[in-house]
Amino acid sequence: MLEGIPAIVVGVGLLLGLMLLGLPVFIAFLTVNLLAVGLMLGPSGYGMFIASMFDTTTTNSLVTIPMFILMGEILFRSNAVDVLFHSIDTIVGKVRGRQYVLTVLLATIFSTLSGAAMGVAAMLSRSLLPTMVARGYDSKLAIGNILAGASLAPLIPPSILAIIVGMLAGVSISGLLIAGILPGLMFAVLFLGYTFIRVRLDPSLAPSDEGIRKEPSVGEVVMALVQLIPFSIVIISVIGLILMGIATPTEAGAMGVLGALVTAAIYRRFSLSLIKDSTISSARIAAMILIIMATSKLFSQLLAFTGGATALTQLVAGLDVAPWLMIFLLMALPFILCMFIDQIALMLIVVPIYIPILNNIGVDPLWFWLLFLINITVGGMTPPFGYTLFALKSGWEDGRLAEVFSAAWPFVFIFILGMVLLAIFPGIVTFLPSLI
Amino acid sequence: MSNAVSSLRPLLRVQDAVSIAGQGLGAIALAAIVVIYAYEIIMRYFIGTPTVWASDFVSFLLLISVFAVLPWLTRDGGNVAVTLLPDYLPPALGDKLLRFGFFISGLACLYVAYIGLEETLRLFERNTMTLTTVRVPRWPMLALITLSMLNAGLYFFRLTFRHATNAAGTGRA
Repeated sequence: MLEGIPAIVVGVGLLLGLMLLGLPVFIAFLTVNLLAVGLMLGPSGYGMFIASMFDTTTTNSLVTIPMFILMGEILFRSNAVDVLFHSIDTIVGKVRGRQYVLTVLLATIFSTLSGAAMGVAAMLSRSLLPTMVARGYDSKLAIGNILAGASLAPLIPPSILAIIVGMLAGVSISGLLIAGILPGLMFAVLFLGYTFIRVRLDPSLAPSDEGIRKEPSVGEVVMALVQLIPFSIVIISVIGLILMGIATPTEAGAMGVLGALVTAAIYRRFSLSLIKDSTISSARIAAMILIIMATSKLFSQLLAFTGGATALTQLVAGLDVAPWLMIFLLMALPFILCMFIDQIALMLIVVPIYIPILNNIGVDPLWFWLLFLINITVGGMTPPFGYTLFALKSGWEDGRLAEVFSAAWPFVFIFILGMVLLAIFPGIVTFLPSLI
Repeated sequence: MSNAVSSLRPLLRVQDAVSIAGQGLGAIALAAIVVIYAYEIIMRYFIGTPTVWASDFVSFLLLISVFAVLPWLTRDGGNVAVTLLPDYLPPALGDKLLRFGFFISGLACLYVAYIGLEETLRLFERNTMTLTTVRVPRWPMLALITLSMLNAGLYFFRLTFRHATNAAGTGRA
């Protein structure tokens, strides 16, 4: 039986090969799992195969994904996104590429509060993305901003991943939560800076402002704000209920759906066919995402079972290299592993092994674990395995996965650049926690 | 060959009818999740008597939604796939590669359905219940997974043998 690092190489290699042949992603996982369980455990292990699919598709927190997709679907079909865009156009005025700012903001806010980067990516690719493309915005730049915004969630409070890392690593959870604020803002500035530079260099990436002929009057701005009120019902349904402690993120997703229906009614688009079409479309998109998750879960468990991830971590941890190179390797490992291992499973494997090494090289744990958090979330948007990429593609009917992949890369590199900045200027991470 | 296809046509129509009904069931399950959560929040915060079943039922509905929808999704070629290589190859060769992929997919799904059937029968005989607050038998949900994989597998075979001009799926990368 294959064990340790060879198991990772063979498993991932086979998975990549099957995906490259054009097999549906979930089938690639399914086939590798069938072979691996058959070889490692024999037919007696097949029970865990079905049990893994059952457990994943009955995970309560995953209900957030279809709820956010349904919310986006209703908003898309009820014309709410068009109204939102028109209002932003009127209020912000002639700033070329302004809707990219809206994209990053919405992705970050929804993802932070829901904890479901995948659900938000699918929702925005179903609602915001088609409207942006129709208005002349560049699809790749829009996709990159959605992915990047959704991936900022672990940095901005309330971050579930920060709480888990804090508990596992024994560092201050409140410190870790506060430490993420400045880096989160820094990344937002980097994303928008990159976007505006691209638009400046190539104006065709954003539509011209011919539609806005003059500065809007006060009355037009007030009207635009009034038009935003129905849309804000959705925001309040989700964000308000979570912040007031009335609903969990999953329940808030369902309330957001009701908010979207109210919005549709205000825009005079509410109908039975709207509900029927939205639920059918959402169920299909959610099934595309969740069947991949259901089959990849066992792949992740099998990698842990073969000891592959642990062996690789111990190999890196046991190297006798300079402290800066060790930190680099300790960061590179979760970055790669998180492309195909569940974030929480990876944390459970890696964190206990990393703790004694960190004590030896004497780095600030708060700083290190925040960089670690960024690393594991970027894995979710890094081709070819990042879950968030598949979620975004599921919601974007007209697009191709290859386009999503190429859209993600610049923003992955921006994340890496940001991590280098945080490594050079650790004060960006440690300043706010030092005040408490 | 054409006679064989003609004789299968009524069966294929039944399969399509079952699958499209499954897609409807999946959509209803999603709508039910919204209704249940809204009811739960009202009961918990306005009436002060939270339900004990809402969270469990929502989880079951998620499973129902995913596996009820999967066959029709497969029939439409809606599953996410990376078709870079088939796209770059000459059309005839790319088409063959895609069909080969569908065939492998069909085999994988049918094998999972076989495993699922064995597991469903085992749980039925033992009357195994879910480990949830409201305990229900596990086997009906495993039966749905089994049927879904069987049906999806059959659709993959249909995609393998359908007319060459229709070979692409909507989920292509």
